[in-house]
Amino acid sequence: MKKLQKHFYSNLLDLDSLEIDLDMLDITGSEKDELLELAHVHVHQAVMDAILSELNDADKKRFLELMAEGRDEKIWEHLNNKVERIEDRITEAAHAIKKEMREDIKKVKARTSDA
Amino acid sequence: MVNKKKKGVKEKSHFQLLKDEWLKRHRRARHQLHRKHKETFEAVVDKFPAKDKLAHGAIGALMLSSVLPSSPAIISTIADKPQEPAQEIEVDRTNELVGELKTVAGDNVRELSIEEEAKVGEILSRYFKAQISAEIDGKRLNRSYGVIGAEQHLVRFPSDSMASHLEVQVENNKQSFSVNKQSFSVNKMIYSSGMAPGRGAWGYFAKSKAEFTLEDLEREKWYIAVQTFAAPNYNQKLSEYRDFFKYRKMLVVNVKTGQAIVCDIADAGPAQWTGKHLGGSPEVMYYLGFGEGSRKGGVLYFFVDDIDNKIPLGPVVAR
Repeated sequence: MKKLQKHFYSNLLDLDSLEIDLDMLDITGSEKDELLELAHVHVHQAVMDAILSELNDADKKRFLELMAEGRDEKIWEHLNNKVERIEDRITEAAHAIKKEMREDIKKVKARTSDA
Repeated sequence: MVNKKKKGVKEKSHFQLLKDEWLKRHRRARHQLHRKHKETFEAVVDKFPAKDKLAHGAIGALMLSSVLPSSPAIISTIADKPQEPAQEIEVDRTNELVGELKTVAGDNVRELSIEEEAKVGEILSRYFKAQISAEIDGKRLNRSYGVIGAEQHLVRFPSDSMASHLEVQVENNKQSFSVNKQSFSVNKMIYSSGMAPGRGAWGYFAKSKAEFTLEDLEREKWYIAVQTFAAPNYNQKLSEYRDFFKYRKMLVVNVKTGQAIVCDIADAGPAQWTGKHLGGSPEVMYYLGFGEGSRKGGVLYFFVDDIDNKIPLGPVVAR
């Protein structure tokens, strides 16, 4: 299993459920890795969108600068000062996109089962 | 692990079905994200000159055109087959070139050995009358035979737009450049590829429209994005490699047809998970013969040793 990139919020989330779902498909190990990497990017996009949507322009810039510098503690400090229940927002956004991706997996499985 | 079943020609595998779906989802999400937060992204990129390094980072993955799949699907439906010859020549030896390359590199994209790279470099040098190699001064990319995919146009100066991409007055040397001589359908394909939301790895090609030169124009037109971040020892020698890769000329050759272009490196990418190894501008893709269909294919990409900057960018023919 390929190691996926860590983000400041990585301790809040995992892709275990998706990984289990992917095991139901007829795919190779490297294909699974590639799909997990894509899933990881999807989750990252969703989380970032959720966070950015809560911030004003100046706070967005500050947040992205801290992201680029990889200063995780400062990121949390910044977000906790600007957004209420930011951890919940992050997990909710991730949960929603993971749910959609699990549906995609089910559809793919069903589509080829029917064939 | 379950073995992949043999299926009908038209039936896609689980992997391909899901990947296609997720790439579509990804494009939608990326467009939405850029629409909502574009100005903030660009403001932050301005503060980080080592943008090619950002490409590997958390925000880079959200911002950079070449990191993520970026080609609108409409391109393939409106692009016509190339009709114009790349260049007038006395003796075209493209068929011979293709034959020689196939015996060394083969039809299928793969990593070449050092010996094979040396042989390919020798063949390309001979047919294109220049010093061409996979390595210069000990510096090389992660590979030299890979899949090229379509990129969007790069913004060349502040206030640049798609409209100005088709016809630009180059102020400094009073030269006017227009692609309007090309057929309408080619222009349409080139225009509809759109502009990447971020800038290239080296920022703007010129600080302003007034300072925009013909050289800048050519650099954007014939640019490629390569995986600079995956080059051996890249992270240990960041500034050295950055200087080396900046607008470095490379010969890109369609292995199956022999269509070839002298390009320059102007962006970093694509991400390794895309399955592609480099990206080409709309013009590059068109002249390589990838202007329609899936708009990707196998190419050899080797450095052109042009220390005196005498070799022009653009399509070339084996001779």
